[in-house]
Amino acid sequence: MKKYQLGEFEEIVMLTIAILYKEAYGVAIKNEIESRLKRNVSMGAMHTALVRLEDKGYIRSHDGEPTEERMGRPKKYFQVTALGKRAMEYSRETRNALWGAIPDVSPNVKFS
Amino acid sequence: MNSYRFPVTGNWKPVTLKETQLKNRKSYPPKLPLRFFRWFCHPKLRDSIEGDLMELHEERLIKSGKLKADAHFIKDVLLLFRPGIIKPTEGTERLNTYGMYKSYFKIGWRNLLKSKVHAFINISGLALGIASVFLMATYVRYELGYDRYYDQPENLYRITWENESPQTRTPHPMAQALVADFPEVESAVTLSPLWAAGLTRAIYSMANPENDVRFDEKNLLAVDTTFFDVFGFPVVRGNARKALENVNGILISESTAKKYFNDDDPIGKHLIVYPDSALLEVMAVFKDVPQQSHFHFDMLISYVREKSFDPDDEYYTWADFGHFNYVRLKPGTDPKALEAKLMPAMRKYIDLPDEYYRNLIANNMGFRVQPVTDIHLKSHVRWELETNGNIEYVYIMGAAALLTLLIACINFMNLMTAKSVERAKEIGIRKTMGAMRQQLSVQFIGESILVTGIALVFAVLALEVSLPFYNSLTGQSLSLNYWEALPVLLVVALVIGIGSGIYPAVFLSAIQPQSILKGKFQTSHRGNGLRNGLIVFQFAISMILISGAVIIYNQLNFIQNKNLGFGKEEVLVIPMKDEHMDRRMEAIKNELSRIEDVVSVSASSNMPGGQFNQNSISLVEAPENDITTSEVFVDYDFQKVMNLELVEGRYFTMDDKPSSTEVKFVINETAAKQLSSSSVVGKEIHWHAYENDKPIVGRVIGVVKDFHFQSLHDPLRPILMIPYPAYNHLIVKLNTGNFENTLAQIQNVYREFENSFQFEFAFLDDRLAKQYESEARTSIIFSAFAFIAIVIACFGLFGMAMLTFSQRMKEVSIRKVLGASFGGLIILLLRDFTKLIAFAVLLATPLAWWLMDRWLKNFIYQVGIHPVVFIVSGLTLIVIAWITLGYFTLKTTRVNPAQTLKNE
Repeated sequence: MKKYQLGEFEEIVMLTIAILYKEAYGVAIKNEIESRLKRNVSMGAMHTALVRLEDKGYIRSHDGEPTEERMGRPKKYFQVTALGKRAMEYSRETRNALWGAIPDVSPNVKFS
Repeated sequence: MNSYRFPVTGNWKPVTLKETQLKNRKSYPPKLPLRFFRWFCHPKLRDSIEGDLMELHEERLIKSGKLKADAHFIKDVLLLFRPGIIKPTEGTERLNTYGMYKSYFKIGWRNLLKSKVHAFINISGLALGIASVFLMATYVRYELGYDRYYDQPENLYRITWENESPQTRTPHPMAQALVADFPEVESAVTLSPLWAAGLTRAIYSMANPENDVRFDEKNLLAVDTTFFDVFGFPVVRGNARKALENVNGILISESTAKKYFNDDDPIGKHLIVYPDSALLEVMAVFKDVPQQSHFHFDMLISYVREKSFDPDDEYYTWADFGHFNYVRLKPGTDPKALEAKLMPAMRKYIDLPDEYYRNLIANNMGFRVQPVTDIHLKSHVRWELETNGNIEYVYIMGAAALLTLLIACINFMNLMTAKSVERAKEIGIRKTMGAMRQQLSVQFIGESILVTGIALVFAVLALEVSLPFYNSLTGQSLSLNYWEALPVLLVVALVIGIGSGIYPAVFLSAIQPQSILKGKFQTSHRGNGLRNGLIVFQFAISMILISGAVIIYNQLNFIQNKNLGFGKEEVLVIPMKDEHMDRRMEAIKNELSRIEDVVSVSASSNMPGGQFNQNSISLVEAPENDITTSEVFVDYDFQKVMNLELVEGRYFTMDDKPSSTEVKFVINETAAKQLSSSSVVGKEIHWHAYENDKPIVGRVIGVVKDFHFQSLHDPLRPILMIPYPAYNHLIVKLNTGNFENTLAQIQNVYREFENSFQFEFAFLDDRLAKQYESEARTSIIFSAFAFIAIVIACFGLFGMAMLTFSQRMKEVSIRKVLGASFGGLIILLLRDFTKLIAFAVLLATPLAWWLMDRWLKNFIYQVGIHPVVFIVSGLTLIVIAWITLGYFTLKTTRVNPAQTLKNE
């Protein structure tokens, strides 16, 4: 079994949360991903990922202040937990290890 | 990103706005999708996601106009409709209660693990109890399931005859008469086994002439042509009706067909019947009779054939009560109403003296209509086709198993309530946190269901292990269909769980939180009275079971070892299946006597333990004193072989053979006494056999001491011995020696005289023991239940001791410091429990006495109940209890006071 369960999209969401640091709430995360990665993110996909990540204990949330443009609905801010950080590091390390394992003899391997 | 940021006003309250407030905004998202979203979204996520949607909508509104913003909004809402976001279908309210149940389960489980000894006691006790009950339920179901195999068994009845000596057999023409006279009788059939001399079942040797495959056949019935109309036995091949109309037809069962003809089509094949070499044609094959039937047969032949030999035989007239009559009534017929009409209607056929008839009617006797489904368990009259079961044993077994389960349930209740000190804090805190009494009850009942559920798993395992063991022990063949039993098992677990959990639940949930949390609730004196009462109850049951087991065992021992008035040891009984052997008896005896270990040889028509034909005898000088006697045809060495004691006169000699001009009889003491108060030796008697109008006249030459030719369920009855060569059993008295060798020699001699049947033999004592099979079985099972019950009760006692003694540690410590002796402390600790058990013993003794006395009434010869049985059982129980308590008693008395008292 894998040590840390982390999907590709989940990882992106987590990284974005980390980037936004204290300002990571729904719309902000969505906009950040869309602008940085140039890909469309649906509310459904993102919130599902957030729920799942929270269930796994990789992120935690707290309610923030309600604002006018949100018609009084509170913002829900997300934060990466220590466990989540380890999961991200693990995922990065495994990737690096795999990169490092590519033999030098074939430097021109095409990754398409 | 974050390009639009409205200043935070800070005055918004973190609450959901009402619809009216929404309307005040200049532009708001489309209402319907929003409502839809609010409907499906998980409440926990609803507000924050809704906020996100609003914010995005606002953003888009400014960027690209209302239309696009609305479209995006709808798209977003639809894309949010996915499993992670939608609220659970059970509703979110239930989610919380579910969590509570989970907590109950977890706490229950942890409590089990915390007190492993108690968990073991509860689970093993309940598992044993449930397994016992299920084993017995299987047995009871098997016994109750007899004779349900026929077509509409509830409409099937057997006609029996009730007079001072009731019997199953009635006249042959009755079946026809019933159909003709009563419209409510749909069909009727007469059937009968075929008899050899002395009304012993005849045995035939049959062979397939094509390959000479040969077997002995015992289960052959002669039946009317209507047999299959009445019983509706499934016929596999051939035409049963036609077969039964044919003089030379025979119908065989599937397994019999396989035996003789393998896989060939048996229809049209022949069977040769030895010894007279008759040729019968197989005309139909029926399905094997299932085990759960009160009668079995492998072959059927027609009455047409039997009657063809001697159509005028009195056996086929109204005068002979010698056949079995079964009727099928029309659905909805009241059998009692038919029964009432039977005697008056049958009177025109049967020649009954007026006075005798009036007597029968006055005593409410005569023909009876007996449901076929009742026969196996409730019918115990003369001439049953097979040995029946007994409803009483079904009750006894069921009761014993239920009591065992009850003891296990009581253990659970007692331990649970006795542990209330340990649980008190939890209850107190739960109550302070707002738990309702009802909720706590649910928790405790849930715990007991959990325990029962675990016990159930072990019970099924125990059942699986014990069933083959039980079957080999009792000779039954029970099996359990788990898929069928599963729902019942679950319901039983639930009922037991709730039943044994309800009292602890009520008891524990009543605890007042303030007293617990103030530290006032220290001991578990509450409920002590009931707990003690339950312990007394448990041990009273144990006492009843243990003394019952002892008495049943004693009685069994008694009847098996009682002096029966004849020697039963080392007597070999060899069935003489070929009637041609009778005439060569002298030669057989001569040959057998030459074998070294053969002491003496004789022969008879019937053997003790079997059934005997009955007729009546009377003194010629006093014909009005007509007594019913059993009769047996014997050889002149019968007295010697059986070691019968002669009281008066002499026994038969070689010269008393029927060739002499006068018939001679030997009778037993009971017969002599019933005939006359003075000596009857030398007097002439009438033997009313075979020909009603012309009795056989003979002289009594001797009287033998009474011997038990019938089972000890029956009283001693008159018997008449006739020196006539109509034998069924060769009786050989042996010396202990090389039995194998002797048997081989006997078989060689037997083969010289008869070569078509199988050679079989049995020892007389084994044959006699068979009469008490159901008693032997009861004894084994009952002892097993007594044992299990005591084990479970002692488990409970062990658990109680563990709790109460640990609470008395301080008391014992103080007593020790003050100089109490070791012995004194042991007495102190054992005293309370011993009192309870002694009380239970006293309470149970009269009840056990009464119950066992009732059971013993089944026997004419009773071992008698000696008070010693109860004293010994009671003492055993107390000693077992002491041994159980021993561990904790020693542990408590050897406590180091410095350890227990240092904290005070």
